[in-house]
Amino acid sequence: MNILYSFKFLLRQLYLSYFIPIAYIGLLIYASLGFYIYSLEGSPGNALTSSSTVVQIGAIAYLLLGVYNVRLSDKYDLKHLFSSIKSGYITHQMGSLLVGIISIFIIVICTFSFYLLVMWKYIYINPSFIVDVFLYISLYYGLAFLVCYLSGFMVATWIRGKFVFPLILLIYVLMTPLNFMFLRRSNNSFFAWDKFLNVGEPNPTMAFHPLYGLSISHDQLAKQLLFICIPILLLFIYNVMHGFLQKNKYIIITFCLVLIFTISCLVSNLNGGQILLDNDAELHNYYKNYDITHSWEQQPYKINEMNISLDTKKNLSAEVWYSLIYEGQTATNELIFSLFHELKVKDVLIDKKQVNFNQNGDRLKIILNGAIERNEVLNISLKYEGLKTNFYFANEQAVYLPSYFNWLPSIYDKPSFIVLNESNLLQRVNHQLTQNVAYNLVFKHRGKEVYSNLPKTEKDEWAGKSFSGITLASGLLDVYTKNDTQWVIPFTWKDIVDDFPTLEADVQKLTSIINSSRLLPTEVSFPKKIFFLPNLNTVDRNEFQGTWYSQDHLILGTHVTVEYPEEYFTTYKNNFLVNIINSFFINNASLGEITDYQFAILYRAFLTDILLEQINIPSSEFQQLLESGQLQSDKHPIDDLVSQLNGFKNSTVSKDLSSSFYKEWAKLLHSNNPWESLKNLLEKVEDLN
Amino acid sequence: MSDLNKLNIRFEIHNMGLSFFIPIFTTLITSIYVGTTIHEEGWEYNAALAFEYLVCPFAAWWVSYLYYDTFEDNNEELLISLPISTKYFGIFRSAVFFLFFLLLLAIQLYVLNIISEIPLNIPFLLFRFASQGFVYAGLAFVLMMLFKNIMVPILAIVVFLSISFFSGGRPFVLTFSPLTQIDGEVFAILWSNIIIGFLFFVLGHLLLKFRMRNINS
Amino acid sequence: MKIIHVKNIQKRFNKELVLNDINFDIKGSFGLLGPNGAGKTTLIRILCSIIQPTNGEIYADNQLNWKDSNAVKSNVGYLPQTFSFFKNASVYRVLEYIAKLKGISKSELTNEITQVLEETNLMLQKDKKVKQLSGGMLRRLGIAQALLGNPNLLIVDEPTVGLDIEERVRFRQLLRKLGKDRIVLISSHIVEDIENTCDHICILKEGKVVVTGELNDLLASIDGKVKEVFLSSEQLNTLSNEIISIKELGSEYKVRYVPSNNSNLFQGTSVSPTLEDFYVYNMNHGDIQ
Repeated sequence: MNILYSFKFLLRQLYLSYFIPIAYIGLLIYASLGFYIYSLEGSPGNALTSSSTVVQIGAIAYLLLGVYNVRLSDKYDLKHLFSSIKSGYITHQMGSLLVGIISIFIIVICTFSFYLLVMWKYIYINPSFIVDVFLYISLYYGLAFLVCYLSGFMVATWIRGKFVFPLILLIYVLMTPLNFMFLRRSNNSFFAWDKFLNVGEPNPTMAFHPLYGLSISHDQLAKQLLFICIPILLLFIYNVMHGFLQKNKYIIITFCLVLIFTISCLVSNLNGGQILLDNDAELHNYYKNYDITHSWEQQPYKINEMNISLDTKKNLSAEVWYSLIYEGQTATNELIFSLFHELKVKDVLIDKKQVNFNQNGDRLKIILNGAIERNEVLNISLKYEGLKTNFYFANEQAVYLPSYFNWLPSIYDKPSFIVLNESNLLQRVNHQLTQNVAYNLVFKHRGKEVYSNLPKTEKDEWAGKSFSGITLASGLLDVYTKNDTQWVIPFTWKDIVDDFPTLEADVQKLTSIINSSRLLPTEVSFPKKIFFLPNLNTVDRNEFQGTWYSQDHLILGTHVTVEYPEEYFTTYKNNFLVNIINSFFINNASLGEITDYQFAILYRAFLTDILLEQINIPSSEFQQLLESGQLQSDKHPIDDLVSQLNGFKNSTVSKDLSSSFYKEWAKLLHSNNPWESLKNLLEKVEDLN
Repeated sequence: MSDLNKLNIRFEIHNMGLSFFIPIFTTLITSIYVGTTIHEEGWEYNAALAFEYLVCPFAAWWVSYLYYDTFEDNNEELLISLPISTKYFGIFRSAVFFLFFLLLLAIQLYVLNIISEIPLNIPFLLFRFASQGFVYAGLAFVLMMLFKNIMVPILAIVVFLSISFFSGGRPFVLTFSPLTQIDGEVFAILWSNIIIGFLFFVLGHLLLKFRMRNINS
Repeated sequence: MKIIHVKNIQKRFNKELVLNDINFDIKGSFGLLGPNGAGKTTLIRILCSIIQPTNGEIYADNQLNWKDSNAVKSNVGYLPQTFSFFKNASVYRVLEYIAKLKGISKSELTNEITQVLEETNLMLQKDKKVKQLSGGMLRRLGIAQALLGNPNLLIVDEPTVGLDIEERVRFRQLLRKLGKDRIVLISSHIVEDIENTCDHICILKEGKVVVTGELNDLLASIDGKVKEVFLSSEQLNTLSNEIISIKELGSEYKVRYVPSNNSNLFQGTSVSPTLEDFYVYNMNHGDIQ
């Protein structure tokens, strides 16, 4: 009660200082103005993630307000007067702290209300996002300002001189979103100090991620709580040291509890799970130096059934059981799998017996206790956990584990990504299993609804056969059905579904041409389940990386920076068609291993022009590819080949997609010397003509 | 001349305490940063940004601290009892400490020129960063006179820098241009800085005059 | 509460011994006298329970023990040496704020504040802002806040610091009046403050008690030991340590002094001692207890 009165009294004193209410109202107006501007652009997500300036301003304002409130009573030397009154100093201190807390609470409520007001038309369809927005504002405005207020208060309590201001500025520089300017170094991958210390939006320069959503994981909360507890503990110590709090068992117990909580927050942060990061380059650099010299052979294993149990409390934690039939010609005492290197294997059991293993990059070698023969069956159990990259997600907030990614042990001895030497582009490598496996998945995800290509059988359980593996997605997603096709898309893109028929009609024309000319060994069709997701990151200059075809689902990818793609399919129809063609012919596991991605790009570009020409859509993919210089290589001069291809393209034969030329060329994608073979193939065709 | 005789720089520095060394310390840190990143891609731009964000704003530091004691400890009355002019108390003392800032900047740029692998136009850079510092110093001066609280200039300058960083606030005070860029657009910003800084100082001087007259009456 | 016993109090700050073996009883209007740096403010802070002594104990005749800091604080009103408050708050709001901090209930709040405003003669200024008060009014406001909660012990540190002569007189009268119903402890280095308001005193020097007791008894103890003489400036130079006070009267000086071997040369007349005489006498000749 007295604390409340103290709060009211001090609030009035601040009100009378003029510049504090002006600064406060200014901050509120600035934050609201930002929301309004983004509402005009239809960007409910970016309105928040791009509002780091608000945090910057609020942080310095609250650091200084903390100092001001302490200085206000220091100025009149009230410390001794208050401490002569029973609990007087503590009541006054609590009242001062409450001034900060209540004013911050009002900021949270006002900004949230204004956000709802201007963004309602975009977000009303997804109540969970509204909750996310409130959590985001509470976390990055509310708690961030509280950290600053308490820090300012604490520093001014301990230090009475002028040196308080340099310290305040130091705290400001270290703990606000701008800190990456000073703390991030390109080679600093050991510990991201900027992320750890920043109490504002963790990725201030990154656009809103429509799948992942806002960064509001428990780790972020634990970090804010950690930085709230530290000044509280230091205030505690100050009060006890100066006799404002008497050492008694209650005080000691309270102190210990806060200390334990602080340490647990710190530990939780240091052993942190996956958070959304803006360090795409890290993965790119990793694969730039990755050893890809060994052959990428499919291992002679047959898997009929796979049981998977997943958890995403902090990041991906998986237990996988499967029966493996060894189909190799010779006996072996080791098994080779591919598993993304961030997923650290904890335990491997074969027929319930522990075995040794070796994880080297994306390559997992299991050393058997004895040699196995052909057709021998092994019951393998694997436990692994990890995942930090922002290309794929598996935490409480979002899940994106596509079937082509080796988040499940893949039987191909190849990495998850490669960097193409010629173009320096990061290329995802296909790990779709291509075996008709019966999957049983138990996934207790605490976050939002999970979507999969497998049918859901029960709560938290999915089961079914698939030829391409499992795709899992969860986050700011919703499911919409249009013309019998189920769309899993970010809810902020809801309107795009209405634009789908524009694309669908042309894709159907294309699939009928592809199928009738038997360009592919198996027929293709637009699957009835489409995951339309922002899966291309800032380093992905190759947009074909986003779209992946399999019989039971299509992952249709676009860039993360797309936030509200109105009439997206109409506007970018050509791009989508090119990507879908690419997914049919290249990003399609049923076709086997791509041996040379540069060669595959050439094939895709050439074929795309021919296919689109057939449905009267102009396309110059081949020309663009030539102009981009991506084909240039010292290993295989292409000038002759290009002139041959140009000659062929202009011939009438090229229009006949059912000719054996295209089928032969398609086979070369999986052969060892494709460039020379294509030359020979073209010569043969020329001879025929 | 008589004002110059009254000036007691040692006393002013002593009064500021450890805080006096903050701009020197920041300059040192910035120099180390700029020096160690000299081989990195985009150095010319990043080094310029470091100057614009970490060096220039500190031109306001000493100017603000000069008035800290006077206003925080309610020493205004003592002030008018001393035989000093408004000009001395305001602009003259501020100018002396702004010259300190210029000296610091000149030394830093001289060192930068030695270590730089590309030729730099030092007089131009001195003008560029000094003009920005002049705005901050002027802003600090006028705000100290207006609000009598050091927190206000700190808040204003930090808020301005934050907004300009995230919004790329060109063309206003900061140029966001590499060290080597010398063109009409940059010059226009720098000259406008001089004008803005000058206006701030004049406004601050008038406010101080008004305050001193109020105390007298 | 009639008497507070201060027993063997010792206070160290780091290695420095600020108070050493302090023993005395506080009763009635009690004056704590001593030069600057004698340890008065430290002792007062101990008595206010703001800080704890390193050794020793303090207790009152009503079982109140200073080990129970909270109970002590409920019984003490304190006016620090420098008292000011948020300059934009009115007199009434300041008192209301302190009353709330002291835990005075809502029903008693208005009565209590009115009472202390009347006691300190601040009723007419109750709506004035702190920044509009004169030095004397501000000191009275300080007393008013200390009186809130009707404390048994009122501690006033340097009561007349910064006040003009008229205000001093008025303030001393106020303190004397307040001393009728409670123990009032006044700490000062100004002898007049103590002499005009206190019945009992304690003189501190370098952290130790020089002398303590009832004022009249203490003055009686040096009866006849203080003399007064008229001297020329040359004669004056022969006295140094013995002098208590000097008053210039044209070409002569009226000198109060404590006789010693040097001063036996002069035929001074015995005068009745004042507290100032006693204080100077004890500072120069008193044995520290």
